[in-house]
Amino acid sequence: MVKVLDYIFEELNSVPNFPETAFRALRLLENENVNFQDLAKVIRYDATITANFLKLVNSAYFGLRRKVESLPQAFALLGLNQIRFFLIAACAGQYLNKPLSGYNLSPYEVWLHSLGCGVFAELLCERLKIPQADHIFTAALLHDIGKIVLDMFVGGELEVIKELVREEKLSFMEAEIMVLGTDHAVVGAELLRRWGFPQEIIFAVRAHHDEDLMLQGRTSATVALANILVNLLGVGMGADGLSYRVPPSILKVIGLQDRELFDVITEGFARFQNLKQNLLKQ
Amino acid sequence: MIVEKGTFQVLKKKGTLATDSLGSCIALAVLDPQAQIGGLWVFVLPARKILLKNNANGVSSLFFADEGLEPFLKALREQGADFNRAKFVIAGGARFLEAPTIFDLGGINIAMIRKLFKSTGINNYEEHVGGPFPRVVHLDLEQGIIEVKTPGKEAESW
Repeated sequence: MVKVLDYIFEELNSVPNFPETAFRALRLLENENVNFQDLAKVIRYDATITANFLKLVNSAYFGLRRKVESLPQAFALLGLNQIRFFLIAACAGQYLNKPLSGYNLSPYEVWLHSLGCGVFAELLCERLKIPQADHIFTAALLHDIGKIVLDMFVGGELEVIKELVREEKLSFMEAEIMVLGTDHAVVGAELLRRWGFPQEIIFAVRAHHDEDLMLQGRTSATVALANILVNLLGVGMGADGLSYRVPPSILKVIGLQDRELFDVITEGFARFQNLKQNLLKQ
Repeated sequence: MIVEKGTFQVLKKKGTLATDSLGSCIALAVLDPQAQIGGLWVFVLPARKILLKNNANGVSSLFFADEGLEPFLKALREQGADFNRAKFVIAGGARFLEAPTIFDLGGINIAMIRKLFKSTGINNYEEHVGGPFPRVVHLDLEQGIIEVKTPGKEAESW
């Protein structure tokens, strides 16, 4: 077991870095009075991020009348939180378009699951009037990035994990830990640490399936809830399915009433479907 | 053809229908092999009344178990499906290993569709529901089968 663990952590070094452009842009966006010309200057040097960003903006669910073709045009139309959301999504797309055969997911499903989680996180931030939501978006979009590492390096062991979940009624995380000595949340958090992400994001990714840790902050609880709701809807649901536990006080920690939950599910699903259909059209 | 959640499709003579991963949503597949008519519907929530009033408008009837069943059955009947010989299969309604009741959407959806079947007089149906596992439903008109797939398990078909 320890050998596998060493191997996974060693191999983390071979995962390509998170794009420097994205880091610089996100740092600029932390400032409420960001200068959009500066922001465009930073982003436009990365053609992939720019293209992804514009594609997402044009697919978005707030019905832009005409096609957005340039960064300044997009910035003029979007709010700060929307820019953050699409920028992070545009960067995350580079990592989240790989098949996860061990988890039984196509690249498209992995991407949809991440985007779906981002959409629900954005909706929750809106409802709860959380002003600085960029850490929540980032953590929501990247929460499963550890699965990419686990899948890349230990594909064969995942059959054993699935068997443990099936036969022993363990949660998927418990089975990952038994077989690999670690789980996709720990590995994801470690990857983000090496990439230099802020602690709050690392913690939320680490906590997204841990019933105790997720309750320790609003960011981690919101990301965990967004993931729970996306999973309930089956969006890009992997072999792990709903093999997890939901702590009783999660809604209380976030500040959401029980009776609001189904409204959030309905609204989030409508937004997600819209984004998905428009992405497919392009 | 993929049937999106909150919608249904009815086919005659040939073609295939499939769902995405269902999560806690429930798919109802109906197939009349003799008439070669088949349909697939996926609902997300048990009833509109669990939404707060000001948000309940504008959501399609097919999103809800109680409002969507009748239009779906009607569309099948209009194509000529005979429910006395048709196969009915429900699948989905996945549930977390442990969660507060409010998160047990799968459990609520299962209870709702069983209740609706009872009051509609549909007594012969197969079910593949509950548990934490994701499922996908396929319906193939030419082969005359409904198939439920769960990753890592053998597909079951009727």
